[in-house]
Amino acid sequence: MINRRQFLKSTTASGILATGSGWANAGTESLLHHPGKVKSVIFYYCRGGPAQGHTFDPPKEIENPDLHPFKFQQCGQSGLEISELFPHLQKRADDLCLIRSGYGAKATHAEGGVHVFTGASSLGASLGAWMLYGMGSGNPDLPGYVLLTGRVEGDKWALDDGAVHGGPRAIGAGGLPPSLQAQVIRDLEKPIANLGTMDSKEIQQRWLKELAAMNSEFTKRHPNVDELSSRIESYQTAYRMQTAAPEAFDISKEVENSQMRKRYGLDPQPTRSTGTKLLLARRLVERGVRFVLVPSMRTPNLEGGSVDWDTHTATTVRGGIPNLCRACDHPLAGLIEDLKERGLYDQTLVIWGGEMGRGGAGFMNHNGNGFTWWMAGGGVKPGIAWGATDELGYTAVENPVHVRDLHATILWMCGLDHHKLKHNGVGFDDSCQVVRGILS
Amino acid sequence: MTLAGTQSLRNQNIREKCGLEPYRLEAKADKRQFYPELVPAFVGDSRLLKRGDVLYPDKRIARGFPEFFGGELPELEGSGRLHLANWLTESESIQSALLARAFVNRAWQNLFGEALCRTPKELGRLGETPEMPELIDGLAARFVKSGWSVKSLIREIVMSDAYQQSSVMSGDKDAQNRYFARQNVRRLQTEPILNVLASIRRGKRFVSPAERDSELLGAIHYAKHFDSPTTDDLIERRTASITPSQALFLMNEPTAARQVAGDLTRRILNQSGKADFTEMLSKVYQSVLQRPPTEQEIEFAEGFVQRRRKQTGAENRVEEMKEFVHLLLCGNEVIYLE
Repeated sequence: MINRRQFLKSTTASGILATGSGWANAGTESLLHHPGKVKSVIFYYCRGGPAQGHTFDPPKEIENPDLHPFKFQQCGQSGLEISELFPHLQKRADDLCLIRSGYGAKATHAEGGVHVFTGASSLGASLGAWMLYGMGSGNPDLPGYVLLTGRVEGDKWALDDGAVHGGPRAIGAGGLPPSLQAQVIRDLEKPIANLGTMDSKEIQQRWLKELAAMNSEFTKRHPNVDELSSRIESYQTAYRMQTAAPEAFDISKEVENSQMRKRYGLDPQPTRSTGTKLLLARRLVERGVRFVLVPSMRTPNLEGGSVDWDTHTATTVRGGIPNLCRACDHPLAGLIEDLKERGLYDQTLVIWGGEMGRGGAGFMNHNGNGFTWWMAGGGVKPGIAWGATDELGYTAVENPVHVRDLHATILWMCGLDHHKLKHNGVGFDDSCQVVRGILS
Repeated sequence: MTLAGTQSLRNQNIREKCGLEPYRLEAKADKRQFYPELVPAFVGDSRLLKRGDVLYPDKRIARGFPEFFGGELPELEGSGRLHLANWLTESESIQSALLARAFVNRAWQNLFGEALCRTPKELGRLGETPEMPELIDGLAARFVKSGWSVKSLIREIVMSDAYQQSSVMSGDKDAQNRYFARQNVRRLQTEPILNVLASIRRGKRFVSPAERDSELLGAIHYAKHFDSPTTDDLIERRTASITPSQALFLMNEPTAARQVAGDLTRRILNQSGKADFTEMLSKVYQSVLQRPPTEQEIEFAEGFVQRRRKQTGAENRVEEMKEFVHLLLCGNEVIYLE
């Protein structure tokens, strides 16, 4: 086992970190505790709390047939039961690891959103921030943790840009250094602010050289203050980002390829924006970004109005869920296929899930005691269903997995041990447990 | 029913369920006057909200003080804030000792950038052990003796030898400066950065944050880039991050440092007319760093101009000066305290 100092020395020597301190002071050094399979996470977040009973966890007993109009099929070699609303993911059943026994979520949206992303430590730091803190940046020229929202041009179907319940707190750095918080992309056309410059490269290079020379007196007076040298490096990184970020976010070449358009569903209205964002997410993880969060968007309700995954009534179930599934089914299946083709599948973890489940009192009510997430990619056993809910599908009863356990498990797949991962002595809740049964 | 109607009906239901008096909303003309009868009747014990939902209030929970502090617990009436204040500052009590220690520790942190006990939220077993507990205790004892006077506490700290030390490190002992033998070099917080840039741009000080922000077009971006905490979070210490997005903001954003540099240059050129370069340079340094440039810096600035002319192949007094001011504004001395 190498310690942090040795690791730093070795990587600096081999040039990975030699280019500078990267996105920020914190989050550039790797603190890995064991070799982890997962290098990046793409999280498709279903805003509003998706109903497990309509998607990936068929209830054994149905109280009100009006609320359960959809059929489930056994799919693939594994025979996992998946709703007919996911025809593309049904074909990928043997890749999915369904976690049907999630519990410990909060049954209100805003609090639930904060809790499901930050609930594992008292620092209030989100999962992506912890991952970046522990693993270090995978590409110092790009932000390490990205929230992708927005709609592409020509999308006349989605009704909002997508957001995370709980707002900035759900994707924040909490008590970790603030530079670890998610970089929010609001406009897919113009993702990072101030990348454009009026000066030519040569002028900027001269200017940066002058800046370093001007700061040198100040820096020489305080050789022990690390911030000063990292500040100079941050200008160099910014300079490199001016070229790296537009390149990473530029999908124009890929969308010309008809195969890619088909794979991610970039032409049909329902999948246009989601497909583009997942394609972008793949480009980002390919370039070393650690955590990409893609929230679901509001979709039209077939019976009038619009919905997100907060489907309480028979109308929203019948009219809303098919469209919500349509938006993500094809692009997610395409993403898995694309990751496999590019050899990224083994080091990327794709997650689908929301801030809570549904069921319990009032049938389709908010439910923190049972929810389903699925994962696919490096780190998880494919083609299994972990745990189970009770007869009605409301409460996790078999092998229950707490929200905190999910965090600990994902971090474990990344090579991080939640017992050891601490910032200023503060780390994860003692009750966190790694779910060994789903690890590949 | 209208949306507002539904809302008010819902509020009515909550009040009925809780047995709460509604707010008395009669407007009084003079808002500066305190009207006790306008204080909502239900300031007092709160109800347990089932699963945190205001729609499901449960039993009333009586207010009180943490019992582990021991001592007599006073009867509470009204809002209870006065009782809380009295209880917290009760002489010779455990809670007042903790309050005084926590307070002087935070005052020290605000003045030095680091606290005596590095975990200001946790002064007990869960926190770090301070290197100089006697210093905290001494300050705390004098703070209480002075009648909890914040002013005399701050005066004592800033008049101390420790506060007046230079930030230059001599020798190689105590790299982390745990013993405060020198001052810490630290980055300014958002508001001082705004103050500095706004006053450089206009050449005057501002009386209010609102007036200041109206002078800087990109004012809202500074909070985002320079770690201003949000109102959602309780934090015990502000962080000073260093990010490339900060650098991009200062380098490229036309309404930030670039604009400030342009305005300062224009003002100085207008004032000094045909003054020579060195004279203008000293005005720039005076405005930006409140000191005249050193010999070395004058030489550097002249070199800067020469190198620029060589690259662009043209001479342009305004652009040259503008670019140099922009450079100064992006440098460390503007936003770091020595």
